[in-house]
Amino acid sequence: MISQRLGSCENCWFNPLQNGSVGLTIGFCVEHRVVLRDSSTTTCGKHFRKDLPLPTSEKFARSHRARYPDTTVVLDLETGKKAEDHVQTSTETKLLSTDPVGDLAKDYGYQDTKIASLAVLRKGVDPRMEFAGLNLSRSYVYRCKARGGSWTSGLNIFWWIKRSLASTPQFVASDFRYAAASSLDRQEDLAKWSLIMARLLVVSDIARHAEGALRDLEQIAQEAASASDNLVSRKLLAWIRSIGIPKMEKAMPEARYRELMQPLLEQPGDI
Amino acid sequence: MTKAWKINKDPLFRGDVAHGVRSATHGADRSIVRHILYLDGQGRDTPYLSCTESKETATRFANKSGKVYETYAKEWLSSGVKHRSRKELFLLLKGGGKGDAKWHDAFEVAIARKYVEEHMEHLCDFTDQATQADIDVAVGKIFL
Repeated sequence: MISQRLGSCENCWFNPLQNGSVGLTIGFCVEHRVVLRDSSTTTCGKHFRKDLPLPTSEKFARSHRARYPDTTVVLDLETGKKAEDHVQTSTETKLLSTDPVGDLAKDYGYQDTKIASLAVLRKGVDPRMEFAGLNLSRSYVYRCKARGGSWTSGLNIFWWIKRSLASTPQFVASDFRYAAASSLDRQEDLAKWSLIMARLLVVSDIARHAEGALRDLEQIAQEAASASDNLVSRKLLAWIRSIGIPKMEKAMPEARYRELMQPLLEQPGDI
Repeated sequence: MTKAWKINKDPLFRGDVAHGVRSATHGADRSIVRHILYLDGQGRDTPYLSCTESKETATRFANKSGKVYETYAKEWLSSGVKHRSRKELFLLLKGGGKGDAKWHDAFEVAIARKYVEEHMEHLCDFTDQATQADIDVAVGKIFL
């Protein structure tokens, strides 16, 4: 097996429609605004892996960009040339509107601000929608900090995630796009574990950019992984309830969050 | 996919390019986590080749233009190739990793373990081969 698909659009945080075996058979790139008809065969210079912690993703992205310098179009992973229209990519987005996550993805940052789109994505209990919101949150926070942007959105996202951190994801059969692992039960639990870990990855990313006590959460995904190294979601959730959430509360107590948000909420137009 | 894989009778599969299995690299970094996570990207050097118990998974990895190759792990030793089974990988990919899977980041170890489980992965290990030519010959022998 060639793992090069880990460097493809399938595994990029700008594609909110696919996450491992979870998602639609087609992807969507929120950067190039095209449907990814064969996402495991395409990539581009903006590629950012969603399966890894930020420092490793950044390192991979740097070497990937050296090999695929073109950031203006989607490329064929094998040849590095422009991907084939209609075969690998498509500008026809009408079909995406028939899927609730696809519909939100195609409008991401288009009709409303990106943070407004993220606010909608976080509200559902649909795990595909949550995956989409978490991956786009990572790209959003990363870009905000890279551009020297405000910290308000990062705090909001942190707070949203903290509130849902201990909830058990509920997948349905149609959430899966291919078979994986030795049984369906195991595939489902690995998907749950991955979704809960995706929550922690966003927290870890925010902590990496933060200063003060929040910074103590930078290794939270690693600590959670050590505590659930058999990748059982129940065990991971138990760790989150007993250790993870208290740790987050210590790093950012509700009173401190409200204190930080209050002056920002008084500014019209800021969220 | 639910029956238990047995080394004495069951094949392993590998999805690769249509013109033949790409060879492993002599003297490359033997980190199993680095290999499974594909951290060095396109054109990386690795002393391992990944295989799967599932033909369906291998077909997915081969993509439309590739091909699925078959191999029997019980025959690898006669070509000087070590078999790192899924069970062995599970034992190595825990916590901070053990042996060739020891790694500085427990989350990345866990993700590697997840991929092994999802893909029902085994490794052909060429680290005992003396030269690149030996590896190329062994690869040609074990994959059908």
